Amino acid sequence: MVEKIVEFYQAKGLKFVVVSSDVQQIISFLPEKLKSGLTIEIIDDVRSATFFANGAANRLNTPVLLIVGYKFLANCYTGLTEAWFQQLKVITVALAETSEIVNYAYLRPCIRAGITIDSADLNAHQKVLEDSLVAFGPTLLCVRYDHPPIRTMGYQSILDELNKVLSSKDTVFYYGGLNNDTGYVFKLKTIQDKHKYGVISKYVGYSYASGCNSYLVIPLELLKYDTNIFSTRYITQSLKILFISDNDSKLPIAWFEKNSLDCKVVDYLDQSILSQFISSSNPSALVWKIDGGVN
Amino acid sequence: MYTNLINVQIIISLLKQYNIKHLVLSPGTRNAPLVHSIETDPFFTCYSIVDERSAAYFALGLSEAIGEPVGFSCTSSTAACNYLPAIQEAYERKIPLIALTADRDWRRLYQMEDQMIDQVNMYTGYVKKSVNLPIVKDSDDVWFCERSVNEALLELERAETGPIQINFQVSNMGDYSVQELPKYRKINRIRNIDSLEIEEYYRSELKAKSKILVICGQHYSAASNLKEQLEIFSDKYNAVVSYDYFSNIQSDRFLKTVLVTEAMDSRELEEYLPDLVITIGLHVWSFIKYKLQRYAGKFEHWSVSPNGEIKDGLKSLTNIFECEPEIFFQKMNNTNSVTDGIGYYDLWKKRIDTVKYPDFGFTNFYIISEFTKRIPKDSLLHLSILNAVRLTNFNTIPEPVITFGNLGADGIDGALSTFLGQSSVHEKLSFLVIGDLSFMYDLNATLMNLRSNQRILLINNFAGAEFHTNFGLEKMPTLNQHIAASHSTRFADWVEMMNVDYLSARNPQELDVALTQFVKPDNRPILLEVFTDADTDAKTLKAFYALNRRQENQA
Repeated sequence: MVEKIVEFYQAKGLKFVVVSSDVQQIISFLPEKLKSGLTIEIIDDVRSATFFANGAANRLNTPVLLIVGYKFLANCYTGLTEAWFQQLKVITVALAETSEIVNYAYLRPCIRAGITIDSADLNAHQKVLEDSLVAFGPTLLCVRYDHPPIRTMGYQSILDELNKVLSSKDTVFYYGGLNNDTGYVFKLKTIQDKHKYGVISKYVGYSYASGCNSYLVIPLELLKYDTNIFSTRYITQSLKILFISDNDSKLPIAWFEKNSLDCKVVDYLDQSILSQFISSSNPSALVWKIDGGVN
Repeated sequence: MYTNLINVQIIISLLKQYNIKHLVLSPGTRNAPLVHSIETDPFFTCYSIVDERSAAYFALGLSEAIGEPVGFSCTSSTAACNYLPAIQEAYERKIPLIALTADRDWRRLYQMEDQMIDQVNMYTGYVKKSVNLPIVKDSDDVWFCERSVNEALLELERAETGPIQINFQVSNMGDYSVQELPKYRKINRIRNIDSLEIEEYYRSELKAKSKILVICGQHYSAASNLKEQLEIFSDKYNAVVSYDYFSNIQSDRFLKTVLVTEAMDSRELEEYLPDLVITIGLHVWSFIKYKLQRYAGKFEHWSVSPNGEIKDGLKSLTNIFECEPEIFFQKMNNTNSVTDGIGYYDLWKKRIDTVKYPDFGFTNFYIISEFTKRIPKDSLLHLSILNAVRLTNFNTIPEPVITFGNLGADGIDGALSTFLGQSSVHEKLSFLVIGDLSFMYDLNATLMNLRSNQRILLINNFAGAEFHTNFGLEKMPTLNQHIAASHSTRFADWVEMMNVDYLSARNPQELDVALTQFVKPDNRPILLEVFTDADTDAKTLKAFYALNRRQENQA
């Protein structure tokens, strides 16, 4: 269905497509012939992607296609609000899993039209699609699309290592596919992919207010969704973040340090490194660089 | 005799002006102020049908027969529900009906009130427009009711015909002491400017005005002859064309009124008050709009807009021309006669020529002043918000550039991402002027691969300087804690995450050197971070305003 939609708009002269990275695999399924006529920009943060699409739409004075995952559609809210005021033709395609209940009522004030496309028959929606190219303001098309399984962090061994050095008073927030109840000595709180936005902000708030020790274990790439939280007054000595990074990632060492975090980069983990990390009297970031990245 | 309830008077007055004569009435108390007023007015033809469901169906048939919109009115609560079947059918069959549903004070909903249900938007999906009129308590309520009834009635026959709802709240039932119905403001939407008769009518209206002010809002169109048409219009009608950089139309003939209007007080503006304001484009950020509001009714407002939306921010809107502005001005310029005298243009020109600038020191005002002198021709410029917007416009950009800003919702949040989108499709140099808080909001976007034509001028005064202007540390010693959100972040520490060349400046000499490199083409994007003090920045802006208020000018 996404292919048909892109094909429809390309045939009508649309040339610019912005895709959020959570659904970027959709691009690989598009025929090369279709892609060759398009400028496709992939952007991580859906809020940034929406504003980026706005920028392209008002400079080009043409409609622009924005493709995002439905589960992160709320991050389009600010950008689409501005697009509505500027009457920008930002055609937003939100890809929703078959099982997801679609509700975009909150977007009504900032879209000129919104539809859910459940069937494979695009003709039934021809008028909305045609109008989206000429009428002023953004249009929302919620499209059913079953995403491939989400990559989750496969470094359960970290938890095993942490289990050796933490106690029952400790809490670990872990981005990955585990259930909360896994028999570790510490309390394990897993973070689902759909909750990946603001994961560091949430942890900063938790560590600031909770009396107990807590640890955040996430891939470094989640920083892309939450970079600005480090410029905060609420980093306390109990803040401890363990980032898992591939060797190619840039590391914001100076940024961490200027924001009062002790930062250490290691290429292996053992009990000694972890003990030092958890016993530090300063807020700390430990970056574990792994060959081959996180999968 | 008419009801003394203002919201009901507005409905009646506008029904008459829109020539809606036929009303089907059902019995009840809540709608009695409307019913009794219209049944004693010979303009209206009234019909009495008890069951509202039948009444609405009757109105539907009547409308079909006479080919005109027909209204119907009922008391509050389930009475209004009975209208829905006919409204649904009217919507499907595109029959223009007006449901005039009487309601109670909205604050009492579900609070042990008799005969009260939620009637606001109760026909959603089956009416072209639904408006809700409050009980009138002040002039803003009058304005709101006037505008709302106009919005609804204009929608009756726009594009396709169909039903609308006007819900009106009534608390005490008032009296019938008004002998002569006041005439409330009708807003006309002109969609057929191509008619020669209409063209001529509005040209003659224009010729009767001696003080025409055209306010250009945010606008960008690569291919347009709007500038040329505005120049001709300005000459022919002695009109003042007010622009700023977001209008993306500059001419020696046009005036940048923001240079004086932001400092002017309302009393002084009275001397410059137009007979007619014509607005074009999207958002107008200048505070001239708020100052003009105070003189609502003393001038007319015409809006020229391709989508014909009602924007009555000056509270004086009378005509909306639903067309591209260049078409409107082309039609209005189709005359040989030229208005006598150049008084109004000269009045503004003289005032603008007196603009003075304070000693900038090393402030955001100074930085933007130096930067604007050097922006290369045909660059793209995005201004984030507040000081970036106003200080750039208070300065002069000598060369033509394309200027954008997120002025619509005026949010601090997405300026950087929007700029990256714009400049990704602009071949020449592109500049973003942004403050530290705005940059911080959108820091995630800095992780994108920036292009070599992208330049970011980041003015870091370690706080929201706007709040220093609005409040000041003297009045609010805790200002920096939460309101201005002060911080000690220097973005040099983040640059290792970006693919940019980093420059910084802390004084005029460093700025001079940095700007020289900043505005030159290069094979790398550049972030220039300049450090100032928020409170000093705010004081300099205030000094600019003080210097340009009339008493200071005269002294």
